[in-house]
Amino acid sequence: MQEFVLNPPARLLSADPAKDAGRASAQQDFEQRLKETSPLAFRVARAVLRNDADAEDVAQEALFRAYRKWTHLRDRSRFRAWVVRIAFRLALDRWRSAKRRERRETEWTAPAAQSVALTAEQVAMSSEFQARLERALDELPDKSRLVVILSAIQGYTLEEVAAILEIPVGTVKSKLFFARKQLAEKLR
Amino acid sequence: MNCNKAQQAIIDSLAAGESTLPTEIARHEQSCAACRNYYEAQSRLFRSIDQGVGAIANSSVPASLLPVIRSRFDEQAALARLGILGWPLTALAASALAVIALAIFWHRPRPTQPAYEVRQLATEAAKVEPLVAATPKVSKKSERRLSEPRVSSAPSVAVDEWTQEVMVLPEEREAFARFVAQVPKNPVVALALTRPAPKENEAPVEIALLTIRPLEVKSLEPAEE
Repeated sequence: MQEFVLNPPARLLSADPAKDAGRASAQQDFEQRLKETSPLAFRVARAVLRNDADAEDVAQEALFRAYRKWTHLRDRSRFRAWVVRIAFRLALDRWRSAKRRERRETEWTAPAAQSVALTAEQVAMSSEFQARLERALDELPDKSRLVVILSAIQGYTLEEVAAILEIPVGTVKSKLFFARKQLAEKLR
Repeated sequence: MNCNKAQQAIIDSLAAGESTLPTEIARHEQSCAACRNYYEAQSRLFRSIDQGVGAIANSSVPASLLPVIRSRFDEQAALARLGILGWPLTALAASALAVIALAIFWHRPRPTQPAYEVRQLATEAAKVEPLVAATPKVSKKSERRLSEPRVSSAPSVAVDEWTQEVMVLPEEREAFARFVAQVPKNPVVALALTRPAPKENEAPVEIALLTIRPLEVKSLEPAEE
């Protein structure tokens, strides 16, 4: 990842050096959070859209919106949750509009039955299984989908997912359990 | 143990992400070939799901992500600077335009004074009810007034009031208005000439008849005594 240094927006600068110092500190804080959050925002968007370019656009938009509202955010510890939700919502919007467009253009074709003899790795890597998995993911309720995506991102425990989504850990576990069962049913 | 119940428990255990089966289920799975096969197939499926979702969720982050965001932030900052400068400039420009518009309105070319007044007075005159009918018909009221002795206003009534009573034929109004426009200095008087006389709401003052006292005739010469 490239080094990122954020310039404070001009409208935040004032003639008062004390205020400017405070704002500079806030900007450093923002920069730090941006570094931590941008990959997460991208991955969430990518998991929904399955397209790097679109996911990058969405992540940028989400971070940009967060940047513009940064000074209005009272509890800055919630920044990550905020960005993730923005990114997820934006990605869903884009995904739905793309789906509508796609539905207009092509007919939905049912996938062929899978081979049972393949190993789990082979099955997982096959494009056919991947396509079915993606479709099954798309059919999950939005919140369950986000839970599944965040839980699958490396380095995030269920507790962290719960913190990001601002829901209890038990709820995360429950949603994950039912989502996995639903995915398995669709892919069986 | 019932195989259906065992298989349901296997699914629940795998969906919950537990690494091992509960003891009772594990014992059944060891003794039942069908359930063992089922467990293996479902384990494979859940592993595939985990790997597939992991592949979806852990895509590599493009290097361009943060630089592009940074350039957008810079653009935003530039726009904000422009906004700070632009607001007073816009206000100044709007004020200047308003002043220019006022100046143009104030110094706009106007028609020459007499012609303008003629038009205005003619318009005024057109609104006024005809004081005298176009045909020389005399109303009863007018007839009575004409036959009666002349009634004058009370001495306290301003002279202006009765001098404003001007009767103009409709076809002569424009010409008269042109004439009035030439009556220069006092537009009130000029306008009054084209308006109807105010209604007389005061009781007329009658002039007492002339009475001649009986004359006493005296000779000029002194009486002879």
